[in-house]
Amino acid sequence: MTGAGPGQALHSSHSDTTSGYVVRREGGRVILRTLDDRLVTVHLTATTSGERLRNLGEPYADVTPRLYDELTPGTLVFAYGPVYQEDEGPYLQAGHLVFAGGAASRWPHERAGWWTDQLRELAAFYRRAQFGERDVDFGDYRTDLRNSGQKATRQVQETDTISRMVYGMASTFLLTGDERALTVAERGSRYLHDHMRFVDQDADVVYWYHGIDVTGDREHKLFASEFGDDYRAIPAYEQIYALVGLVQTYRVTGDPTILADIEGTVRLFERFFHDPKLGGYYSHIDPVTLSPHDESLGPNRSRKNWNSVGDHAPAYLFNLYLATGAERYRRMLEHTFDMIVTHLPDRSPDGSPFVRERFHADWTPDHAWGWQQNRAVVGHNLKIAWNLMRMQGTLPKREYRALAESLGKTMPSVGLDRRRGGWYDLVERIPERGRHAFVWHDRKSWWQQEQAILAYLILAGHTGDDDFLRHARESAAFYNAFFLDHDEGGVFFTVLAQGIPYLMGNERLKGSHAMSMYHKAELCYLAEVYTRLLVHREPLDLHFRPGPDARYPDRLLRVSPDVFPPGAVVLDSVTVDGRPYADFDPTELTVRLPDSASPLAVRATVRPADRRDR
Amino acid sequence: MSFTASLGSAGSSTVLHLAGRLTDADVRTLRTLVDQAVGGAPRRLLVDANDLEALVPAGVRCLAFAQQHLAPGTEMVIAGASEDLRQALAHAGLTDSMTVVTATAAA
Repeated sequence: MTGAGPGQALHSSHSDTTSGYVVRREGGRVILRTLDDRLVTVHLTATTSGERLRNLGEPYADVTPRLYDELTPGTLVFAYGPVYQEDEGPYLQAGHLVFAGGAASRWPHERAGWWTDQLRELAAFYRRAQFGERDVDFGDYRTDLRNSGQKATRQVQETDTISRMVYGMASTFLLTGDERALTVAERGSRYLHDHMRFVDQDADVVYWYHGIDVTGDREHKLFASEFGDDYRAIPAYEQIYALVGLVQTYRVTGDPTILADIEGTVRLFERFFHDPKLGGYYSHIDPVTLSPHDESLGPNRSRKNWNSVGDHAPAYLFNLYLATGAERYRRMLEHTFDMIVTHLPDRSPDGSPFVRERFHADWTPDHAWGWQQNRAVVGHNLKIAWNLMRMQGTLPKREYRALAESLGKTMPSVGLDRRRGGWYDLVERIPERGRHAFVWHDRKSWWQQEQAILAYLILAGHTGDDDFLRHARESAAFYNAFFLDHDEGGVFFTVLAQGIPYLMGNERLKGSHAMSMYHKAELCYLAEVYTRLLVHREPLDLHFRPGPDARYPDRLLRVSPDVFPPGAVVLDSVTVDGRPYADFDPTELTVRLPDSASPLAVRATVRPADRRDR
Repeated sequence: MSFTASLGSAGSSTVLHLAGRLTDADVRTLRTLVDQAVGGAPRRLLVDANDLEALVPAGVRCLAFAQQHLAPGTEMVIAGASEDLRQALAHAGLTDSMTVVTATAAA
């Protein structure tokens, strides 16, 4: 093999994305300050194109004719193009620029209504994909959707993916008041009740089928999980996510049937998954004996993991507490967070910055399980930071805040792509050669970006730390620049490190066991809430549709959009069926519902507390 | 009457005969037989419950488990189900997934 010749630089090029803030432009040379504070030069050519960041549903915003005008100092730019290796270092040629904001005007994704508009588009995509222009009939629902939204060949309806879609639709209604979205949420909730529910009257619990195969004439019930990690077991996370849409719909409507199913499932967690001696929740139970210790569970026998302990809170428990104000749910939240701060951080000498995720029954770490071994899911760490900060809103504890802030400060150096932006997926917990190696790849998945955006928004909102706010903005910019599918609709599951959609295997799908309409909708819902109320301190309207038989404790509709510290957010005004309504408590954020023979249309305007409220 | 179970065949059907009172202590026996029954990839699974006096919820879950592991389109029939069993199957959401033939009262 001979050495590199003069033409080698051309032939060894690759293409990549560089992210940074414009420092200055010198002719066709643009100096950027990268996310990790390095100066790089990007070279424009005669064919470099540019666009402004745009939302789903918005037309392409071409700025190619005025690139120089757009390259104002302080603007965050994603520059993609060939990289040539030269003696003096890499030469970055810009093929395409995405302008993500950050200079004089407000970041585009912080415009009031940005996330609400995105959620509206997502709801339209999933409604169209599942039901076309027909009436909403969940008999037509299929879990697997191709990239375009077309149904794939597998004829399975998974409980969790229906519930995740229901969550997305109920959240759409909360922000928009769109009755079509609520119809989907209510019919989906009813379908889960009628087709996916297993009532055990002796034990007084409810559990949920994994799903139904509707290939034949009859429903083929899938009882135990069909997936490799959980095969022939009932995993806690499937039962947890079965509630995600039900609880969000219950928040809106107060439906007593939904509440009964929710309460029965919480009893399932407490009776069969909970470890009353050492705390936490087991990750799997046997489908017949309902024991977490059954030999049939194999590597999942007597195990606890991040999902079985930590997913209760974001998936349903915060929302159930918000809807009911019930102390028992606050205590359950406290228990899960106490377990997290006690057992998940690695306090060993030279411990990993990442939490531990899998445990034996006695909480000794399990570093031998399946794909996890001693590895970290970056998004789980961010999810912990986000939810610990939420918990601060109702039960502040020093330990909660300390771990949340510690993770918030540490994760960028170990989980963030500081050259291109965006958050990685699975990495080794223990560094070698000065880095936490990627386990499978350096791709980025949509849901982990969500965790980052929400974690840093709430960290910024509650601490006022500018670094946290910068991470929130940069994470949101990357997500909006690369994950939105402007051609087919929806959101990409995975992008390559440089932001190009990865459309292979299950990751090419818009609907699958791992993806429906939860994370992307939750991001839209809470990013709108946090941005409006915590960052820009603006009011926000929320919509509810309590039925005449709504079963809320004390018949009080609780309208707080998320868990906030007492007095941080107040209820400013209420309308019922379009008319001003005065029977509400501004500081408790509750509305005493009037008697009614039909569902009520309640609009609640909440805002950050200010001097008027003191 | 204590619980007994046996596996046999009738024509193209695999027949699981259940008798007596199924308690938690008997569930492993039933589960083993269910595994055998579905492992044979039957064209039809007939559960003969005419002599079944009672069963614990874990027994219903065994039947749910059996139904899942039959190939889609394979018929599962519960023959001679008592009203209690029919109700338990209904609460379990299984009556849309299998044919339940209730026991007729003696004249």
